[in-house]
Amino acid sequence: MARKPTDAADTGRPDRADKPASADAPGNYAQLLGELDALRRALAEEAARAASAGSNPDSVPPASSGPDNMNPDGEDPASGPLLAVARLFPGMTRHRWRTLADEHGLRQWFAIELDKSTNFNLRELQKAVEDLAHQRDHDPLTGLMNRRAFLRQVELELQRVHRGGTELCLAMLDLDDFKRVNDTWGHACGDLVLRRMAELLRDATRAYDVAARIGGEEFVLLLPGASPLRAQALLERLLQDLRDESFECRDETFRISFSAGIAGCKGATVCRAEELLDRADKALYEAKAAGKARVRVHRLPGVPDYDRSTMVQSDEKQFLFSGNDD
Amino acid sequence: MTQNTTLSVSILSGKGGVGKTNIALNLGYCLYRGGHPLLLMDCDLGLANLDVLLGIAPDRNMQDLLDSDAAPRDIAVPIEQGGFDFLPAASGVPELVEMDGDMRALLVRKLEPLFSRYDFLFLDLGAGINPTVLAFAAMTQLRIVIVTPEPTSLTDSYALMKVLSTQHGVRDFFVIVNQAESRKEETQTFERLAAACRKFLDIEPQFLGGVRLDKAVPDAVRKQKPLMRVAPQSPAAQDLFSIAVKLQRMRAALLPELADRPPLRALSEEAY
Repeated sequence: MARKPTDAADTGRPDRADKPASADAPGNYAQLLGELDALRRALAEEAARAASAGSNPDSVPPASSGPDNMNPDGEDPASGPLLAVARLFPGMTRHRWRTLADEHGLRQWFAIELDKSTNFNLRELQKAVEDLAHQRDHDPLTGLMNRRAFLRQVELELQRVHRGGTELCLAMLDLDDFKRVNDTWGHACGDLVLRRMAELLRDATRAYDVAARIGGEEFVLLLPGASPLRAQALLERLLQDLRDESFECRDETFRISFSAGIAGCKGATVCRAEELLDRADKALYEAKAAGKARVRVHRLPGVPDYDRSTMVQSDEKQFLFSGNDD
Repeated sequence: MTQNTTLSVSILSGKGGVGKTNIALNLGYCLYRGGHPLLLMDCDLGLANLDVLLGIAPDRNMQDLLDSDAAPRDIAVPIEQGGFDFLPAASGVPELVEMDGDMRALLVRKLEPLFSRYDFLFLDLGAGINPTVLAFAAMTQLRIVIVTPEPTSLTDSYALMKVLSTQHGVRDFFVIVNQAESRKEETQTFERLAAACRKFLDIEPQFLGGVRLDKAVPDAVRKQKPLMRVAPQSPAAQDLFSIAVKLQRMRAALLPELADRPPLRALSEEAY
């Protein structure tokens, strides 16, 4: 309702309850909370899948093993595969866990206290797993999200937009004449430009905008809560910042620019990620065709942003002023 | 369940500065003097005007209804003793102008217990075609559009009627022509508007009356007193009186219909 224009972080962002503490929680907890969100979604999917596969005699019955479900003979009713999933909880003691588990009904989660050496090895293992997971989702050169992880994020945000009746924008950026950089000064130079571009993207966006590298010299920016106008302003500022940069390779200086296409999605319409990317791509194409180093917003032909049936037309005004049928 | 006897009327214009609030106030005054308890609501929620015309500076306003546990009875300010009250709006509160459907529903719910003691509920709407204006206009049983002979006033009123009829299914409007220099100009102005409505919107507005251009009106405004009190014999005052009489008759005729309807139509019925 009441919007404070100067506070960008508050603009049009619904469903903070979806990620209550993650944004403010200290380091390890933020990560954990994010994972628990993902775990919840994963289990919800599994539950849905199991429910629909329920009539299939080969399907695994819903995992509900535990003391309450054991039959009198002590045999485990779940005859299918069984998995225990573990995660390290740095800083958590046995006593503290017991209290928490009792308070929040988590007695079915068992806790193992680790001695120093096992602790160390498992920590290392956990770190290796985390690094791999990060690598899987991020571009090694720039550290930005990669295409796969980005698409996942887009779907999430689109659901949020639809639920909350808000809007978002997607901007596709492509560095202009980038091939020239690699050809003239080599790939190491090209990499430098890409890394700098990624830095600029990260600096220009707020905490919850998402930046990704989805191609050789292609980047994409997800801007939740932004209108096409706001997105355009942001992209144009970014373009100016990039053009102001002076790059130096092999004792030569050069400048670079990008072209960008923006597509928006507003609450009521159901937008698909691929369609949104497609529209942004079309706008990007327009930007390139119009001479590069510019930003274009995609306009759906023939579809106005608002209902025009109430607009007073010129013939109506004419009639009011003169009383004539002209 | 008690039968409803309150007739709700919204007074709108599209264009600002055409005398909407003044007319609302003085019509209200006439009806009150005619023996009808009347509540005047300043629905220009973020830019209150009614209190200014009355020379009253109320401590509380409708925003307090939303912010605190204040009862509507505490917010209502008597203009005259014994049944002529008004509900002030706030001044300089943009959030009230941008009120969403839920807030409006809450406001109406909180006000409802207050309505039953009045024969008339006048909603003095703000200018323009923002969602608050449209919502309130669609909520009342009657609508009175105030126009002046000026082309911009005609266009703005027409635009307002167009939005209300096409987007909100509201098709009944009464028209008062304010500040015409002659009866002829009054009729011409109304006819111009009505013809456009007939031709393009397929609706038939009804002429409720005209209020002549009269120096006594700005004089009363400067004195911050109702015209009906300071210059009851002036031409404008007499015109207002005639219109009030019509409204009185209309209410009497509508009483059977009003009986089982709420004074303000539930928001769920609106076409949003």
